[in-house]
Amino acid sequence: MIQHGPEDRDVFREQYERTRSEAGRQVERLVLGHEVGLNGYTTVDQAQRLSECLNLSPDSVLLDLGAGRGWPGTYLGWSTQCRVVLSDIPVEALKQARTYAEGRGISRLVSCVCAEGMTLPFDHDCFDGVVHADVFC
Amino acid sequence: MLRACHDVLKPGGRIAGYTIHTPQGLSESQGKRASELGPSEVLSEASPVDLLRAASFNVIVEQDVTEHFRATCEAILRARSDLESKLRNEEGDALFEEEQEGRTLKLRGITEGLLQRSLIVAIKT
Repeated sequence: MIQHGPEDRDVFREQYERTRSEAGRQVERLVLGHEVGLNGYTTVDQAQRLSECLNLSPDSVLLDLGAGRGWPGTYLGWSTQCRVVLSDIPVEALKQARTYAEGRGISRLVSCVCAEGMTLPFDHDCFDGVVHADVFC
Repeated sequence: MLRACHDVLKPGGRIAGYTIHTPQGLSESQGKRASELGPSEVLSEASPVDLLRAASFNVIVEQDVTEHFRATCEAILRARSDLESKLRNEEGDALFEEEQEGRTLKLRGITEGLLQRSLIVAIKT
C-alpha cells in the first residue's frame, strides 16, 4: 500500500476535467447508489459504515482526504450534519465537489482545500475524524 | 501522509477508510503481477495496518471487504457492458475500452487473490 504521488497529478487533473457522461452517471447510480463521479468502489452502505465507525455528530469536524469530487465526505456531511473539509490536489475536482454540496443544500457545512496529503495545511489536533476511500492504494 | 493525518486529528479522533492492497507474503513475481492488475501503485511492502501503527495509530477495526469489492467490480463491468453503445457515444471508444480493460484487470487480480480491499479504522490515542 502506498499513496499517490505528485507524478499522478496530471492523470488526476485530466480525469477530473473530463465531462462526465450521462451513461457514466447511470452506471454509478445503478451500482454504487450515488452519482458523485467516483472512480473508486465505495457504495452508499459502505459510506454509512464509515459514518458509524467515525462516531460523527453535528458537532464533529471531518477531513475527507483525497476527496476528489467529494465522496464520501459530502455524504457524511449531509447524513450527520457534521462540518467537512474536502482536501485534494485537483482544483477541478474540488470545484465539482462544491457544486455537488450546493446541490444537496449543505454548502454551509463544506469547505474545500487544495492541498497535498503529506503537508496538510491545518493546525494540529483540529479534526475529530479523517475519512478516505481508495486513496492509499 | 498517515503521520500528517495523525498530527491534525484530536486525541481520541479516528481515521477510517477503505484501502485496496495486496495480501502479505506475496512473492516478488506475484507482487509484480498485482501491480500490473491493480492500481499501478499497489505494493506489498507493508500492510495498511502496519503503516497505521507506524504512524502511531491504534487500529481498532480491520475488516476484509474483498468479496464486496469483487461483486462491485463485476457489477460495474456488467452495467458498462449493458450501456456500451451509450457510453461509446458519450465518452468515445478509446476511453470506454481503457476503462473496461482497467476494471477487467482489477477483477482478475481479485479473483487471483492478489488484490484485497479492507475497511480499517484507527484511533489517535
